[in-house]
Amino acid sequence: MIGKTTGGVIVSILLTGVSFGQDSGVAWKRTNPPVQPSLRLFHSSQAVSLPTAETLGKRVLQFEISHRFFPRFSDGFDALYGLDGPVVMRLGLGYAPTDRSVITLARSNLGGNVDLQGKYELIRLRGSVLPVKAAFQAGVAWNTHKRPDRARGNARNFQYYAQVIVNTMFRKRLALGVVPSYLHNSDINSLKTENLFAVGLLAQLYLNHVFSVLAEWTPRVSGDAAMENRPVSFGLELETGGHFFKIVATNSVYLNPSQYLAGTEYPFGARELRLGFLITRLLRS
Amino acid sequence: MMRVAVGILAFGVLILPGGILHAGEYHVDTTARRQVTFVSHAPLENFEGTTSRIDGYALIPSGDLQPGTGYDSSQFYFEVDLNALDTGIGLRNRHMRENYLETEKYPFAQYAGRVSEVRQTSDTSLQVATSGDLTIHGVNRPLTTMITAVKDQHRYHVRTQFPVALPDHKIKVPSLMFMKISDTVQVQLDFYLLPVSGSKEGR
Repeated sequence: MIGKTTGGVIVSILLTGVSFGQDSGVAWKRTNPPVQPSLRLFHSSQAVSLPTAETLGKRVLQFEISHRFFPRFSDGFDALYGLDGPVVMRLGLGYAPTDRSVITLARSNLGGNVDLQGKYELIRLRGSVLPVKAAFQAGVAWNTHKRPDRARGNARNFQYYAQVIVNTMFRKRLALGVVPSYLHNSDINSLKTENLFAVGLLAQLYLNHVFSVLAEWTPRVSGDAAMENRPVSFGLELETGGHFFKIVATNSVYLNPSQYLAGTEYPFGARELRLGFLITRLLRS
Repeated sequence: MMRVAVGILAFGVLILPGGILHAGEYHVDTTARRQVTFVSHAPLENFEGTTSRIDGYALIPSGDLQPGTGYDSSQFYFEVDLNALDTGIGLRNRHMRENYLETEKYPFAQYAGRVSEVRQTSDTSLQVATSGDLTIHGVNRPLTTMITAVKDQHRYHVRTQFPVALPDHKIKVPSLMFMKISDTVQVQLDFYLLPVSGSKEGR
């Protein structure tokens, strides 16, 4: 025997249920939460010369052309502020076999430095305070220009490097990076094999959807550098849906990793700044 | 009295979870092919974005679609997860999400409305006129569109396409290489509607 109270409770529950059912109207409910886009901090896969932890996305190709003008900006109008050249040029082609990896083949005309490198994204942490991404990059460079003292394939013409890349970002505006780097055979002109440890530091401030300013410095920590000065670069970046354009001022004309890590003959200062640019184009393969 | 109470209780247990199951309620079949595509025209190249993340329902009180106009009490709601749109280039996806669609604030595109009329075009194919509101970027705009619904056993294979004018939804028109793309993109939907348990078709 069910009492009046119990019966009332049952009816109330049912009425509540019916009422709820009518309010929601249908049985459909969203089953999956909204997709969370993959974490991206720096927009580009490299700053000026230093790499970022960003990759390209699976099956994306990246074509790159970079220039550094030998004459100084301070050479003035007669040298068109350095733009008359000659120039150091780098051509590169990267391919992303997976979302987290990129393989890049590039050549700089300075020393005929042919560079093959791979980058792999190790860590993505959204973090409640700061997001963090980390990647590992390693490569081999072959300095192919003929020399009177050695064959082109001589082991002294090969350099090897490895870099750990750690990035973070503040308020979706200021991206920061630290790039501890190791370079084996840092001076190909030396009679003995030398090693170099350096730490690349980079920062990029995104002003709006198109423009950002960036700067990087790669101080030597230990080991032997081929040149006594350390590269410092700063510039302006423009981005569109598939392109990056970077205009930079720098005290280094070296473009490939084994070259810019080794240092520069020019001290950092207004008199020794050179202009340069970098253009990348992303293509879907 | 006891039997009545137990009967009422059993009825309640059956209908309470998930609300009332209406006759003629269809859900997007999330186990079958689903594709949403937008095509954009630009001076240098066309590009498109795709995702499979469409979900939603259609409610046809009569149970299934029959030629005619008596669909005043029908309703549907479909949503597309805009964070899942992929143009093939991660940077472009990021620009699209952050600069134009603002998906942090407006993660879904939604089309809600009702069926206006159904016409039979072959033994299994129907043309379904719909009217409703299309919401993208937080802005509603009325949309009428013609949907092709092909009966596939107990499901409907649904396809439609319609233009979306970006300025209508207060979306800035993106530029590629500093040349603006067309301010109208063509949207194509392709998915299956599956009757849910409890509807006439699902029984």
